[in-house]
Amino acid sequence: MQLHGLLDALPLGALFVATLAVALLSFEGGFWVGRRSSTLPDQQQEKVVSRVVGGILGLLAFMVAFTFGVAASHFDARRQALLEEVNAIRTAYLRADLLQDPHRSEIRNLLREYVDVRLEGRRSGKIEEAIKRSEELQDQLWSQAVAARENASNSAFIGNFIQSLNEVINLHSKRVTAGLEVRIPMFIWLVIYAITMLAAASIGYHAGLIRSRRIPVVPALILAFSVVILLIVDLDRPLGGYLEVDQKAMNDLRNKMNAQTR
Amino acid sequence: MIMQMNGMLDAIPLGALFVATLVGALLSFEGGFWVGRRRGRQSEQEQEIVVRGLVGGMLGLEAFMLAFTFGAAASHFDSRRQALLDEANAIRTAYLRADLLPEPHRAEIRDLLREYVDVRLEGVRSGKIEQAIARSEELHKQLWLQATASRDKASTPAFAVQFIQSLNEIITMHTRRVTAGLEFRIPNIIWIVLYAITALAAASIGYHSGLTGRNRPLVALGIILAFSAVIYLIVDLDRPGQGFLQVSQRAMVDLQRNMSATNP
Repeated sequence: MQLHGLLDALPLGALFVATLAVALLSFEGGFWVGRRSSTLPDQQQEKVVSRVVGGILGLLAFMVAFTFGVAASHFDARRQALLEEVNAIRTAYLRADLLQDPHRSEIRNLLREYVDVRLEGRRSGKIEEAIKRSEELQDQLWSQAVAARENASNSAFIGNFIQSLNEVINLHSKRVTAGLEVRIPMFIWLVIYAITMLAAASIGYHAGLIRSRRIPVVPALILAFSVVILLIVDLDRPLGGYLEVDQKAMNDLRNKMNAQTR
Repeated sequence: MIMQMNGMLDAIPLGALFVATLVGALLSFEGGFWVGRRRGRQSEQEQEIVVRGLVGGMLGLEAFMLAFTFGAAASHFDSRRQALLDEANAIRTAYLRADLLPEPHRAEIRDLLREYVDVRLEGVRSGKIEQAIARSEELHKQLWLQATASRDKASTPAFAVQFIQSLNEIITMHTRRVTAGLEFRIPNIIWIVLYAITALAAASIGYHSGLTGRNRPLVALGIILAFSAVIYLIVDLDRPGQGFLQVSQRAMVDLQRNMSATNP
């Protein structure tokens, strides 16, 4: 969804402040309404309100925690996809060893460039460019594999290499999908923010009923929920923020590939 | 990033971490209690019912967050277990397939694979992970050289291909085990958030207790103990090679025994 751009454009700090501000404003709004209502002598109402506030907080806690669970498992899936890709590239690189020159060295050069492109795309954040270049390299690798077939003495080794090349291509799509498309849908964010506002407003209403503004648990609660929402945003964001998938496995692979050619 | 992604808590032994968590939560409780008692004296008894609901919400959030983080840590633990099992299978397959290669590669490869299993087990036992990884990668190279050499002599290249496939599998499983063990962890930022909301939840319980009475309810200690125990469990699950929860090496030990039995 393009709407993601909206949430992604905000830096994490600004988003945190905005979440806090929205919750506090909702609290104030609820407080104002609650204080006006409390002129009516209605003691029974307070018990009902207490239950309702408990319920809405429970709902919010559930929603936020489940979304956290989903975002954390997306994050794990991104880590997993990177690992699988590293393994597929290494396997293809090793198997290329069994092909004949010039295809052997040609393919190994292409695979080394492939790893560089993947790392560089990640570092610079120019994802679209890196995807495009990766797909070009895949085409070239494929042509090399097909060409190698024609002057090969032994087709078993080509078959073996082609298997691993298919794997590299599949994992490219998997990583792109896991990174850019498997996200928390914008609609879920709208619902979470709506429930947060409603919860803060009901707390405010309840506090307004008893005309007590100085309840230190209120800012504590708002802070706790805002921090967790911030964490979910960070987990959900493939680039930027504190949480990023560690590229160590890919870096190790590059070092190993370079060590072997020299 | 400036910050290290994982392993913020690794320097602290498990027991000390549990005590620190407990003490931190109790101090937050005391802080809340102190503020609450001062408020209680100023006859703001009415807000008690509001605070009751809020504390409930706070505890709900804390409980769910701990439960989901526990779920993530448990599934990382499972994937470490699974990785070990898959690795043992890959090594066994390669060992069997090596039987189909011509001598001297057959014997050479089988010796290397036996050493490989020893290195893996020894690395886990002694905790010298880095050394074991380095030695494993040297063995990968030697195995690969043997495999490519056997290809040229093989009467049937199909067997060489089969062996190469299983050797690739071993190398893949090596990366998977290293990554699953050392990198698939609960990120630091999640720990920071968990500790922050634990402190806030404990302080809120404290405030509520302070509002309602002079004594600290025993249940409060109970819930703080329970949260600290769950945090301890998550840390233990998340920490490879330490604590009560460790991946059993049984599959690998069995493999080691089988290998030496077939090659007296």
